[in-house]
Amino acid sequence: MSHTNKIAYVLNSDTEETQTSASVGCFDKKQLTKLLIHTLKELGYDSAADQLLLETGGYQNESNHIQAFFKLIKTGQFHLIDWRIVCSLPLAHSSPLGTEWLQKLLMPPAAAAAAAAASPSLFDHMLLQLQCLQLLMGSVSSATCSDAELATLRNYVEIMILVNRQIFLEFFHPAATAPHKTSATRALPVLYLRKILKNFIEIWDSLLVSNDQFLNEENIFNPETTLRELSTYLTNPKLTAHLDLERDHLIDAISKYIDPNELVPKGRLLHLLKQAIKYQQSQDIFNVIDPDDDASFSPSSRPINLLQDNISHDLTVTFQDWKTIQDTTDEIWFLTFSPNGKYLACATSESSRGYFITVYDVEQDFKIHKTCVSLSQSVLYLMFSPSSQYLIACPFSDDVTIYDMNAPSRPDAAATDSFLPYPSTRLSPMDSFKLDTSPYLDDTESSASSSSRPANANSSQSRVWCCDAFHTAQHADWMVVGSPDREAIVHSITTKEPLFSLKGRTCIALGHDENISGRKLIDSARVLYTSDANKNGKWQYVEDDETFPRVHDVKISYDDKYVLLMTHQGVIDVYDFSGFPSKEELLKQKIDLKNFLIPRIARLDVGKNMTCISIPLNATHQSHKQQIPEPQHLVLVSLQDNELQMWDYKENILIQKYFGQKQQHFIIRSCFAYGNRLVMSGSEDGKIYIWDRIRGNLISVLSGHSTIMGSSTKPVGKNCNVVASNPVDKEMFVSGGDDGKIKIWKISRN
Amino acid sequence: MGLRYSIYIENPLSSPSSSYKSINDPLFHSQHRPQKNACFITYGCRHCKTHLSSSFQIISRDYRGRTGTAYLMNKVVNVVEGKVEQRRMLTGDYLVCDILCHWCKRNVGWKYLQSSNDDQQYKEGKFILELKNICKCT
Repeated sequence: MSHTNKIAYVLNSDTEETQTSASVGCFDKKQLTKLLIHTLKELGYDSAADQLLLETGGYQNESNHIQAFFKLIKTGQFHLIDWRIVCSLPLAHSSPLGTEWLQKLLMPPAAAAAAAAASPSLFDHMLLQLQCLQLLMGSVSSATCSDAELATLRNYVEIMILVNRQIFLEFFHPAATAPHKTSATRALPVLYLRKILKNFIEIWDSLLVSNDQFLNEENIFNPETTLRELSTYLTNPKLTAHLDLERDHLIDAISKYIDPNELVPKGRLLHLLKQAIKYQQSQDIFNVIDPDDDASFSPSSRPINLLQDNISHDLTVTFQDWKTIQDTTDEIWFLTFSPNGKYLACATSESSRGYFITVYDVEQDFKIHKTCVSLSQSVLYLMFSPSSQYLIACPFSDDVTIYDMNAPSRPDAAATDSFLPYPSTRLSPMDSFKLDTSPYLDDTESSASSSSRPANANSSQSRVWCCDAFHTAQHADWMVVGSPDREAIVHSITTKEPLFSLKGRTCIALGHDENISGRKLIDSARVLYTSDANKNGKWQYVEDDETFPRVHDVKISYDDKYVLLMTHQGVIDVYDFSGFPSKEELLKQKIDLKNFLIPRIARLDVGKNMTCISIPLNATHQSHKQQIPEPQHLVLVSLQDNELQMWDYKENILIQKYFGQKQQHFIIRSCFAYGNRLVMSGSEDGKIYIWDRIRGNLISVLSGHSTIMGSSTKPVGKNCNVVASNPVDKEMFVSGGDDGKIKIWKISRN
Repeated sequence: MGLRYSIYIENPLSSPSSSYKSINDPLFHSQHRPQKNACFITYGCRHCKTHLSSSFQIISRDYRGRTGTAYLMNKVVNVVEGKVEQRRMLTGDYLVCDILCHWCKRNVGWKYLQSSNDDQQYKEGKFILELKNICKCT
């Protein structure tokens, strides 16, 4: 039995069959053997590789063409590289060049050929290659050629440019002692770049334009950046490591173009093994992937067993009860971190000591940083502006109160709020405003204060239950405040004025082929206008005659394009604010806000009572080493009915559901955590529930707030009302409960 | 106790061409006393405007509370009940409990639990809202 057949035997027990067949299991035997030979070589077992090669009867890993080409590069004989050699390379993704074109490429213009023959310098040689290509390009146009043909040509041109790039870089190399460098002057690199490389790159660019479906924006190797890189090199040459190393890099780069059947890609087996390990880990529900990188491949992480499946039987992260703050016995209703992660603001229920918001300094061991005063009632919602400068508080009373974190604290002994535990941190509001809305119709009814009729509520003022700030510079210091009294307003924090009321200023945007806005029949009379067909298809804008909903929560996407309103009627309305005027436009009065309509692009039909919505943590704060693309357009919804849901608000689809926590009567808040890998929520049983965001499985339940507090006069509660994660420190999150405790938790990897 | 989830009392007479689902308790709109051309008013907590009841739930406008005029209501929502106690009133002794707005925990009236007088038993399970503590809401 031959050696190869022994390998086959290990992989496939059907030995009798595989001895003759050309496949092992579902794999091609030839490919498998090539991979083995290649890996043996990479591991340094050259003789074993040769032995195997011999036994297989010549499964060449590299065809002769490729070997010859790489040898030329390794020895620096660039003046021997011409189109004949380049075009003989077998390509990975495209067919070989048509013979007609090939002949044109190989037929140099007579005059140029003569010149090249007279002075066989590298410069003239490459100029000749360029001229050949230019000649061919003259007869090539996208109208007459298929995309596949152009792609082939483009691949060859790219290989040629890579070679020329190396030639250019080697001009600067002190050790470059190529024989052709006889006439080398200082002007040579400049001349080379201008006369040859630049023209090559221009042709490359034109080839990309003519079939732009191959253009990959992410790819660093593109005409623009390459030209820029080389030009910079001209003025600022940095000497690179080693000539051989550079040439090896070039070979690696060119290898990517070559048919893997002819040349096994570098580290192919390792690549396959990594994929297998990643798959194993992705199937492992206890494995919480570190958001920063694929830590599983760093040397510090737990060892990987290649000989059996890697299944962990315990959680890869632990949640540590790091610190408990107990400054109050009042219920904790809201907690939020500032976007810079430095402050933690806390709102509590009605206190025997009055009303105030406590702001803790995260970096100084949660020392009290500010105590925000001048509130007349309990606060139910807090929000920091993106700059972390302003803290906006929404109390029961109608006054939205704004604090400037940069303002100095003023202890005031004479003030009525001398109850403060830390008077030196007392911070007065910068501003407070009421949401003034148009008087309601039923106000006309006689409201003379007769004692036998209930008084009218001050109905020209709306309560404010939620707010969120715009994030980008063009809408800086603007926010949207939402009211349960059927109102949502864009308000400026700095100029202290309302800018735009959404009530009665909305329309419905309908895609031409799908109905994502929840309206079945479109009355053509109510179509306001139809947009021109663009990238996103054709949109119809339809009049919105519904009563504006009661808004319970609001969130704005980080690009300021979408505003999400959580309504009391079981739906989340998504409005497109991408057309909303910027500060500058408003200042120049380019757009009249009076006639502005905000299109509603989606209505998420959740169908249940919702208590809060949250969007993912901003990805820009995190590491750039993201392996998995960041979630876009996600919104996490807490439902009153023991459930959380994850929606994609742009596609209007339900993605995931999370179960386990108790929520029946109270407003419990949830959040994203740990680089958006986790989802967590408070619960009416005082515990914190943590799920894997993608898989939806419950990862951990933390007991934190189960202690039942409360004196005899106070109703007893034991909820965990709110959880919040630190937007900067992905390992930190906090929870707050009815027991008045703020718990700070740390996530650590085992 | 945390923040309780409030339900809203919407005017059943106005029927907006809304595609919003009515997921709040629709039974609450059932009229206690069907009136023609009735004017619908939502009553809420004077302090935080949390909806409590509506004009359709009024049984009698002729009651006296601790702070003045009060309404006897068929049904009241968004309240929590206080301690049960015995109270002596003009019409006899009752077992009652105060009702507090479930958001701001302020007293808005009381609930009759039991009456010592047989002819007052119709009040059992009904609510008193004191006008000083409530307001008209939208």
